[in-house]
Amino acid sequence: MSSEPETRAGVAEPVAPAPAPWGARVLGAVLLAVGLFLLWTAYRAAGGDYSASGPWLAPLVVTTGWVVLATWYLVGQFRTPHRVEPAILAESHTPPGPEAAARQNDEPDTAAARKDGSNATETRNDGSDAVDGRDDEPAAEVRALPPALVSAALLGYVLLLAPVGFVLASALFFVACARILGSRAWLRDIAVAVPLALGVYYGFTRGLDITLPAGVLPL
Amino acid sequence: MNVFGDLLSGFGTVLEPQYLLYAAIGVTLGTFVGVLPGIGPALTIALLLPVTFNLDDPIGTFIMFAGIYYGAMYGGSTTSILLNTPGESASVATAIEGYQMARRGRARAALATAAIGSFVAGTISTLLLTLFAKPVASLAVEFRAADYFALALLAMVAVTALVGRSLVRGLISLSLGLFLGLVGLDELTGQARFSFGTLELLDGIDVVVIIVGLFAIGETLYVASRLGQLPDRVTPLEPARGGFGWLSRQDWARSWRPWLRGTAVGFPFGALPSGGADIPTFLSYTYERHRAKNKAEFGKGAIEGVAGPEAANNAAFSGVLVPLLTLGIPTSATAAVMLAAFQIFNVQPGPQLFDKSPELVWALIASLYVGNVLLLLLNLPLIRLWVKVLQIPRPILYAGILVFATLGVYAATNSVTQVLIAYGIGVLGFFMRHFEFPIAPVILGAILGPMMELQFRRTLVLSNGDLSVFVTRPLTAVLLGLVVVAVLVPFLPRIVARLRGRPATAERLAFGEDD
Amino acid sequence: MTDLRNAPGRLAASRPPGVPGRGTAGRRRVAALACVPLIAVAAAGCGDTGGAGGDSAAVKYPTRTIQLMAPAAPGGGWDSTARAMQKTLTDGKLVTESVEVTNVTGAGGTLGLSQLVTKNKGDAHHLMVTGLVMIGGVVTNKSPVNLGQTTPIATLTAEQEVVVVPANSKYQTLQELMADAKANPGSINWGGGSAGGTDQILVGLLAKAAGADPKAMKYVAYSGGGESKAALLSGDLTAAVSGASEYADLVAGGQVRALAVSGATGIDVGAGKPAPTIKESGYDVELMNWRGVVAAPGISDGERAAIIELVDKLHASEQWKQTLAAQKWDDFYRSGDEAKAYFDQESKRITDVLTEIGLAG
Repeated sequence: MSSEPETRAGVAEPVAPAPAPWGARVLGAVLLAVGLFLLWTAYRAAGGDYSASGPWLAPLVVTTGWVVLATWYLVGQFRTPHRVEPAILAESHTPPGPEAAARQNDEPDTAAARKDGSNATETRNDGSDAVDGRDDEPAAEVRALPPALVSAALLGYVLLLAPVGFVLASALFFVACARILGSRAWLRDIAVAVPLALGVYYGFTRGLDITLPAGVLPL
Repeated sequence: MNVFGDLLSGFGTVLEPQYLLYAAIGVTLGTFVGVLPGIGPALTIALLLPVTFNLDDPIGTFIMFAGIYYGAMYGGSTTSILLNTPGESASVATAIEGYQMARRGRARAALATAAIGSFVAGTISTLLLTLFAKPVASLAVEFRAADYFALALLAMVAVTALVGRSLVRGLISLSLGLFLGLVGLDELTGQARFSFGTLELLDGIDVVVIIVGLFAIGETLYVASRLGQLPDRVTPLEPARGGFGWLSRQDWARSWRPWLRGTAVGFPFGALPSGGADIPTFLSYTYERHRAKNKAEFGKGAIEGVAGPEAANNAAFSGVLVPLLTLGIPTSATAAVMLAAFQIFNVQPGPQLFDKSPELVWALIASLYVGNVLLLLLNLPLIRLWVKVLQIPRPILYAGILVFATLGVYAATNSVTQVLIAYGIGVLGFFMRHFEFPIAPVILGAILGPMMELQFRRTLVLSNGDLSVFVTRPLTAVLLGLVVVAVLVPFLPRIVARLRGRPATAERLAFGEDD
Repeated sequence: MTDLRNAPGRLAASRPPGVPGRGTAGRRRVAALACVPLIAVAAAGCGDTGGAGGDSAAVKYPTRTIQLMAPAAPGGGWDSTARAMQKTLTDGKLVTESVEVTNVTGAGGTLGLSQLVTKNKGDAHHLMVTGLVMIGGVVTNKSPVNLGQTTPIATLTAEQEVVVVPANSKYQTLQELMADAKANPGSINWGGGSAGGTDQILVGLLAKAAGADPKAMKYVAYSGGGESKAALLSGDLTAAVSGASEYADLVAGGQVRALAVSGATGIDVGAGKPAPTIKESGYDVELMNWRGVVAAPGISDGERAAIIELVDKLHASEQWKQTLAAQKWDDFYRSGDEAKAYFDQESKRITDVLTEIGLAG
């Protein structure tokens, strides 16, 4: 494909399906609302002090810019509701490889998926014609539940950290998180989680002399 | 040749077996802690520094410190490349192309160009430090607030390419970064901005917290939402070439110039009292991308995009030592830690350091060379081990990343609130990825925004509000002139074409919506 | 709000660091489980220093681990003070229990202060290091709690401030500088640590003493010690204010000139001879960047007396004297009621000057 995806430092190349238009519209509305709130906050705090060397000019400029950009974005989502991203156009030229089928496999632990993955890259050399990794992936569904569960698990993790202790909280979180991320191998996860948590705890508290909450375990 | 005599005696000290052992321990420790995802070099150094203080011997301390520093830097790049979890701003630029290379099975080449590039840049810049420390320092302190503002503006304009494909989304990302940089006490007046009445936000949001949130946590949430379409293992590796084959002939050919250019931009920036290591890495990335023959490859794993920023990052460190050793001015968190180490041994860095404690200074400089060599010796073989990280099943890998990210923020701040802030930014990072907002501009905004604002306002206060200082001071005027040029460059072909009376056919050089 | 020395989130750059071994992030605990019975240390018997009230040993203290809070990031002045106290208490066997240092970072120490006042209320085993900077932080951050709500124990150490100009500056004396500052405030660019910190407080006090308007002083805040140094050398600043030891090497190297120091007696700040004090220069200003220790509020008089007695012993110990010498801290000991009176007096003075500078509004 000739058009280049943005250089976001994140992974995240264009995901095959364009975000649902309503999703982007909600996002635009949220951005606008937050921007207006921040602008109002800055305006109120400035109390009429707009001097260039004062502390409120920059917040006002940044939040005004935010509001303008959010409006621009929101309007764009309504004006061209079915705008097709360049990446998608390019993607349609690239036939979804044979790996497509395997990727849709719900059980990620299959040998097929692994083998397939390695095939996919072997065809890509370091030459100039590199193909974007996810462009040739099928338009699989984006699921909202796993990230929500991971977020909830994180919240539980940090709240448990002090009362329960680093080792127990980390081990519990690790196993839960691996499960959410698709692992079905309980024993393996526990076998990784417990030594990891203990190792980090002892490495940091004894080796580096950093206090981590001991919690309920007699460590 | 006096310098070389001093340096040789420094080597004489450092090459004693006991000190070599310290250096080796330092490099190993630094690498292994730095490689934990979400725990970047700055944090690693802070965590490991007390280990060095336990030695009673100043020379041993500095040698171990140099080892830890180089190890931590390299460990940080390793996780940025393999897992896209940079732990500090100077690794973000490396992560952009490095992670793309890893995803295409080129992790070995990415790690190798980072290691060798760090070595090359570290060695050259240490040589520059050896030879030109004093003149560079006296030039560097010429920079005034107005010049820093112009420099920050120039950097901002130069790296707008990172805004990416969609202008509006890129700019929204940038505003978000600018906003995050504003939170907390205003440095000049002490007024609280956007702290919403909480004491916790008064100190602002640390860039490290932003980075851990956006990358380590945001990335994991993003992966979680797309489990169905991803293979179980993260990235298959291209077959090893075996032996000394981390880099192909072509990789070498494409890497060496970026290494040198990265060094050239990193060292002087590091030497500036308000420079730092992050801006030159972004500049190096932008420059490599700009002059790449095959621009389409950028964003998909171009080796130049790893080689340049890594070299810049390492060269900046030697640069940072220039004002530290010659003037006693620490210009980065790491330098501040080093200054503390000096003072523990009752040594005050400053104009007289080279005269008063020559054996210590030259031993320190010699240990930088030695640390660099050891790093290379340790890490090239270890590449084999690091790429194995990619074989870890995805659920375990990402669960581990979250544990380490939490641990890193918690250990650094000792505050549940800060961890929650990192999580919140992580959720933001997830939505940004989902809606295809670029991440790098957030970091840029958070770094450059405060610098621009602060130096601009300082300039105005110092000049009693007179804006003419920006044009009457030659250095400032030149830098601002460069800003104008940088803004115009992308449009030059069009302008030239129009001047010649022909319609613009040439593409814009860069920075466009779809470059 | 905070002076660099106690700047949260930053490793204070140009200050003598903490006790060797602690320069870093994170809460640390020295393995200090001193199981040895209390041994009378040679110098520690008296407990008569500073006129602390209360007869000894009415209350047994400590009965468990002492939590000593440094309300700033590791590496700064408060942290080093806490670490030094911890080391002296446990190494010198002044306590049988262990002492744990915790860092609560943020907002010029007011985050730690609010924790001590609210969460640890009534718990005599929670102590906190404090200092001049916290008073400024309370004022400028509009902190809901203040130092007066704690139980004052003692002041321990202090550092003088120094006023410096570049070597090529036309100002040879503080009088010349202040004369211009009074006549034409816009012509003097003052620089130093963060807004509302010790350095700015000194500029405000100087202006007041010289009959100038403190509000009119152009003070530019810099975050790291290094930044203001660079700004002084580059010519951005006319004069810089800082902790006395910070410019030592530049003064010794002839790049900057020290005009005055802020203490009661002149000290050598690098020139080889003592710099004049501000008082000697004709302005009635004395400012010490002091640090001390307070306990949680709501503790019994007996507990207070016991803590004061313990800190008296700490101060009298040989190891503490060595620490003061090594860190170049001035001994600045006041304990018990004397400390309370000093805290109150400083609070008023600092609040007044910050209000006049316009930072308290």
